Amino acid sequence: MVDIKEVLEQEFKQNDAPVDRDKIRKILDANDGARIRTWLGICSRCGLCAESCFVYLANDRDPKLSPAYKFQHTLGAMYRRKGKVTPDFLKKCYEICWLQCTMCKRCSLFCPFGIDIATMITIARNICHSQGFKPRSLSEFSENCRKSGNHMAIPAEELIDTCDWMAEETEDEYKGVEIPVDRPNVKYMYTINPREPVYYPQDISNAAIIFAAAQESWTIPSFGWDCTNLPMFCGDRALAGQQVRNVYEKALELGAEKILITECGHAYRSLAFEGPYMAGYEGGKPPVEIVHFVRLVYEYLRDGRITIDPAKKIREPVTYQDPCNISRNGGLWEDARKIIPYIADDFREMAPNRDHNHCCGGGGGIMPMGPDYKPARMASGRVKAEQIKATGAKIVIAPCHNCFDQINDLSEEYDLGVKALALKEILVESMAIPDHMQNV
Amino acid sequence: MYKKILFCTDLYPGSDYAFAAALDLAETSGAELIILHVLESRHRYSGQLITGDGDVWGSEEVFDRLRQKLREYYCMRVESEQPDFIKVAVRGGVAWLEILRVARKEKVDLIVMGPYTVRGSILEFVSKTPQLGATAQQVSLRARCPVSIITSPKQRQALEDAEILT
Repeated sequence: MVDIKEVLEQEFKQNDAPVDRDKIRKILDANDGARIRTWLGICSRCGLCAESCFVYLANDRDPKLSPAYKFQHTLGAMYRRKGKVTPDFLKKCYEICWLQCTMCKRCSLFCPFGIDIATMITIARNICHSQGFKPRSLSEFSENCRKSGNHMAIPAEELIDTCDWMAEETEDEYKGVEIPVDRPNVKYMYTINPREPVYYPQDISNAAIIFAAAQESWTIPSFGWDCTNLPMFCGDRALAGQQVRNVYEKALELGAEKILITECGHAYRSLAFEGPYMAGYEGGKPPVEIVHFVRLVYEYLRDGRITIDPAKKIREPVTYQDPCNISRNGGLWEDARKIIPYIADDFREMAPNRDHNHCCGGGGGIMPMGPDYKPARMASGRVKAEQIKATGAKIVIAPCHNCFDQINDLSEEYDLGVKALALKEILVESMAIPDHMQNV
Repeated sequence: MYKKILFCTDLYPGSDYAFAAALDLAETSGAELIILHVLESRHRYSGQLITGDGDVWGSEEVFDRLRQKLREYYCMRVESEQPDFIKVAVRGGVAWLEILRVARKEKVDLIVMGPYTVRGSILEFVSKTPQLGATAQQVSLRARCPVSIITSPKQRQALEDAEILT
């Protein structure tokens, strides 16, 4: 692994509180069910998980980077020691949990027993967090969530102002594009990543253009619009629950039929699958149906609600990045492949792909952990860089903000000469403008 | 002529020429002058902003400190003792987006800025091979009001040498 000792020393410097073993025991006891006991006891150290892990593959196949080693030396050791751990042990856990595992769950596909290692790493993160060992950046973003409901602490009026601005921006080119805020009884309550209003507001206008073309019933909520869940990556389970509750409750308040998620991977995992458990909803089902943008785009194209202008199809070679939390953990890998023939002529699969695709290396929270961790992110991303290079593609479709940024960084780092594009951007550039949107 | 002018500074001496022009226009027109600086992130998925003191987490305290510094620096260049027509704003994000955001919000009728600014992960000021900066390009392409790009003599020479202004 890349040596970022100084970065870690800085992170740990702020935490000199003694280890609170009672707190650790409490978390261990709360998770001490048949599932965790079975997983910890059944692992036969067969090593099949090792070759599945991109961190292991990218770092000279160091046995200490095999998923089995990682969970045995974090959560496994915590149980074995009955919570009696030292600060040095927790520092080592921090390194494993946040630098060596993006919780992509690829290893679970290869484990003969189907052990869910990511879930165990999540619990280990939770324990580290309870002892103050947490990435500062994720912790700051989480505090923003606590204070404002979104990880960039964007006030509601600023979001609304950005929506108005983006609607104005479309006026010259398209007719009838609006960005409704808090409209009740719509089909889709559209939730976004806070990076969109701050860094890519065009992403919001692109979504609005697509919705206008499809004549969709939708709204952006003024609160509960942040579909991301950085407290989940930070190990703050209680706050992670609150974060999803904000979205669910707003959708119920507005009477929205479904919650739509922008092109973000972990948001889908959080709201559709893990959120109900984190927020304490019975039965593990969200109170409102969750739809990811990849699914919506496929439905629009399938049903002819948006059509592609053949002259505007992408001619350059294209590949598709299966985001872990949309494909492997979200089940949408075939939906994505049904979209591609509409928008591109020369599609080249990465190998492996679909549910077996490798993580880009930017997941699990390491991307928002900031530039100090970039060397580790780039080193582990070598597997993805090689996958992309082998396709010969010039464009990588990446319907996830993490993958998008990681691939652009990898392109620079490994001189790949590729550009990551979001689906929305491609659609707006290539769709046929329907008559009702033509500016006369 | 103008009621509200937005001057965007990259904190490099080159932008002093743009400030002199903005100030002159503001004084001549009796306009309000907003001085804006945008603190950028080294990475877009980071809450840390690049400042003179290194990368720091964007907070009101950081913004306040910079607002104060900007006020001191620019007010020294104004003859009036009580330059109450000057307002200072600091934001974090992508420079061109924040300039457009503030211009729209404040309903300014003119944006004044230098031709290029510091960008990219390396953050080196490459004066030998300058380009019309991405910020100036995006702002002039997208702003709903006139944009005045003021070059210092050195910047102008460098742009001419690079055959950007011919």
